Amino acid sequence: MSFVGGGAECSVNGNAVSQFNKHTQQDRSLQRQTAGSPGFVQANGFKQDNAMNLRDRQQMDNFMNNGGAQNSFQFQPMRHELNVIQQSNPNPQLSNWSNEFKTHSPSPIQHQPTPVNIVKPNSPINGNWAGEFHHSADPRQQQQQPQQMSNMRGIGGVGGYRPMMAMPLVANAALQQPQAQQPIQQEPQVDWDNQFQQIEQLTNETKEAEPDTKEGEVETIQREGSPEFVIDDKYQATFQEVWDGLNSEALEEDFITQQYEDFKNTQKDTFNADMSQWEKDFARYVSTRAHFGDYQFEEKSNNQFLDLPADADPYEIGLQLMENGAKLSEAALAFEAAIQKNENHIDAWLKLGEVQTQNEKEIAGVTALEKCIELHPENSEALMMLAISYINEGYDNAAFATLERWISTKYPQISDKARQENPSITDEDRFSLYNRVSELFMSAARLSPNQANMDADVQVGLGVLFYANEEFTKTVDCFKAALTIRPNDPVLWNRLGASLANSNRSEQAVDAYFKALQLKPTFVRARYNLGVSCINIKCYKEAAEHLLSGLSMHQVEGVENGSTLNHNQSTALTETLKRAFIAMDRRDLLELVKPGMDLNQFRGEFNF
Amino acid sequence: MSEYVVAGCGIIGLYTTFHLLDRGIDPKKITVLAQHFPGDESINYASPYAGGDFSCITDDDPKTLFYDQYTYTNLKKIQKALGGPACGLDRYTSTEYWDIKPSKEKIDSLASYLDEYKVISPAKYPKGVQYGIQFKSWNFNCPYFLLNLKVYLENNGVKFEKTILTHITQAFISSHTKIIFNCTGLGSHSLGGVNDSNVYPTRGQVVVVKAPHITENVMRWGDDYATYIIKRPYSNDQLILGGYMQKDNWTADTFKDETEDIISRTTKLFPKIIDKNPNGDKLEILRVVAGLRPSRHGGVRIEKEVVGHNKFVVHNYGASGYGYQAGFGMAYDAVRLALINDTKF
Repeated sequence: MSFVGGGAECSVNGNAVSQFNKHTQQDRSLQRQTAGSPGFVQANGFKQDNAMNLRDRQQMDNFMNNGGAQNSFQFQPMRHELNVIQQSNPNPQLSNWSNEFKTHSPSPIQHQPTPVNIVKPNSPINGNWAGEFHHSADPRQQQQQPQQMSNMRGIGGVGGYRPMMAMPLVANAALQQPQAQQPIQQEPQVDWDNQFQQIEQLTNETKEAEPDTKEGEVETIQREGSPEFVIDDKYQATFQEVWDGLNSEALEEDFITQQYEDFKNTQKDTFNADMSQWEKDFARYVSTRAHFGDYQFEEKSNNQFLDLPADADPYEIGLQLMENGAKLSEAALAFEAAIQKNENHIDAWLKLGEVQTQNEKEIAGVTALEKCIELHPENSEALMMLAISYINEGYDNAAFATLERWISTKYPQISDKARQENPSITDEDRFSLYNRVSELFMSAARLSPNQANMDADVQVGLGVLFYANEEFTKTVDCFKAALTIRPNDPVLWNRLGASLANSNRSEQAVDAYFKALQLKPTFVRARYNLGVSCINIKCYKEAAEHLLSGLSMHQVEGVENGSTLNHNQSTALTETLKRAFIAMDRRDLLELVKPGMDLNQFRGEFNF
Repeated sequence: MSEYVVAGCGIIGLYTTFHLLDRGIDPKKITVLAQHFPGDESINYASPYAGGDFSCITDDDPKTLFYDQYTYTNLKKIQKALGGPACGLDRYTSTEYWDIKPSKEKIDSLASYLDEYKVISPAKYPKGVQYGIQFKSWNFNCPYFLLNLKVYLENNGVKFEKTILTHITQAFISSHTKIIFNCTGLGSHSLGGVNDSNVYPTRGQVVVVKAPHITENVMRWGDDYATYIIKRPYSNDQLILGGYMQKDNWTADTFKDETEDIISRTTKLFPKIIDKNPNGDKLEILRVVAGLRPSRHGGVRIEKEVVGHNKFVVHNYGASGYGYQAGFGMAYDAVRLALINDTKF
């Protein structure tokens, strides 16, 4: 459980986020304080493994032994800590920020930033807030991890990165050391991931939910701003800074070339010049997916969009719902209805897949996207989304094959050229597949190295490839580059956040997720990721609130079921909610978490 | 430092550990905890008593078909890593018959990947058989293969510790331990923290005979019986004759009448055992042994469970009589689940 930026690297006073770090560091000390314990354990470093272990072990013992005296002490770590800091730290900027930070809001609210907390819900963003924060010139991005985060995959060979010296990161890829990539493994895995994916869907069972009386809302969720928090301003500030940095210099043409040169340098010893035929590869991919797991539609009785007048188009309604910021679950129902009217509605399948993945219902999303591709094999939007879903689910080779197909669809000249140069076929293995696909994406990136005509999706694909190869800093670079093209794309902000989180930059990840949510409050996946990152920085109650908020967005209007729709329930959300409750040492809450649970039972204690 | 702990050192635990290495996990971060290691014998340690070969014993649900296919196609990797067939993993022709024709899904799946696959013409079927195929199988000298697999992993830096667990969380042996793979087979029935009442034994009895003249496998799957003949590679000409599928039978005892019944059925299915026996009709019995297949109602359980703060258990058990032939595919799934990142792009 490493934690970035808590030390000397950050510009301490000026960087609000580092203050946040400090909060959470001290926060953890507080957490060790249980009812009846003698005192405050001042722990500066968080790397106190022994104490941690004891606490974890206690937690686990409690968990496993139906622990007798449950610790029902509910502390609000952030609140307390911030109060402590407020008292001791005279820095007004800091107090202001810390007031704002008393709780993490599940949904960012616009407000006018002033040194005193005055909250006006829904007022427009004030662009002057940037001045409020006296950041030093050093952005957080300077804090490069000297070493790769401890990763579970343990693929060796990723060496240290030299810290970036200037903004923006993307323009300084020249400083990155070439990666000595070791062979990942020799294993023909293309078929397995794809094949297993389809089987997972076939055997996915849905569980019946208990009926409940709560009704959901169709319209955009408007939340009352609690006077205690205003998170988004601070995030906007820090992001503005990032943004300014990114946009202040045109991306150097060198960036892409350098990416490519770096890549080639690392590949020169291991670069596999043999290329397979694209069609053969993808045919293999498609044939193993010949039997799709069927998409699980919601019960007809739960889908109001099935009852529309004959001239109403549920697909159009679905689009409108998305436009108006309605719950993604509602839009999904509309698209389902469109498909049930016309099962070959390619765009409806595409939108359904898009919506369900954003709704944190990955398997449902995958099934829908696969169906879209079945109907329309060249659908590059679906291919890219599907590749990313495969990565999320650990089907790396399926992701590579899908990305390969995307490139040959969108950049046929590149794949044709490569095929001409290397027509021979070799045994397929993960390493060769990875190299080949990365090479294609690099070539595509080189086609438009200038920011003006850069293809954001190429950067996304590259980012995903780097992630699969555990080159997390490069992943971040790629998503940042993509954001320069589409700065208001909440999905890209979430992806940036995910790549930051995977680089162990949890607090920066949180920033990115908030930005995504600011752009799209109904973005359940961003809330889910926010929950995960909050757990990682030990803000468990806040994590639970984000997760519960996400789950509540699965409720739809008119459905008696107060919890979520019957099918395609999000195990990711509920499993992570359990993790939050475990971390809070709350077995009573843990036991309440089950499919079809009534979310209202949590509202007394959690704000969502 | 024991980031990954594998509980159980049967074929499933060993496959899982091998696959972790395959995925690039540093072997020094892996510890295998088990009550029994290759070389040990106990009724609670099923793996040494398996047949074993790749067979058509399995059901036709999609996941199991996948696990079979994955294992069949990737065993060559393990064989290569362990130095070739002499590690106790070799290939012989298998002839398999069904009294009741298997489902289309099963047949189509098998036909898609089995080497040297052919359907036997009905004219050649034994009486009562509805369907028969022949293919190139994989044969295991189970006790020997287990041992070589363990040695390979150990030589690569994996730690093995003899432990008796009474609760699954005892497997979190270090503060760094994040993931436990529960590969305890039948043990999951009574292991604290798991207590899976769906787990039950399916007892089998086998007769090991000396048969240098038999170098192939023959099997017949009936409604309520299984008759099989499995060549044991690198075993000084041992041949495995079986068997029984006795659900919920926990006894380690072996029985004379079962032995006789096995010999009767197998020699009837494959008369060559006696006809071409260098010793005439005297079949030399080397050993009779019973084993308890670690079965589970609902099939294998491969799922990830949160058990503590940043502590996970990935269950990987319930392989019944197909641990060797499907276990590498199961390991693939279990490791995939273990390594999935929380964060979603």
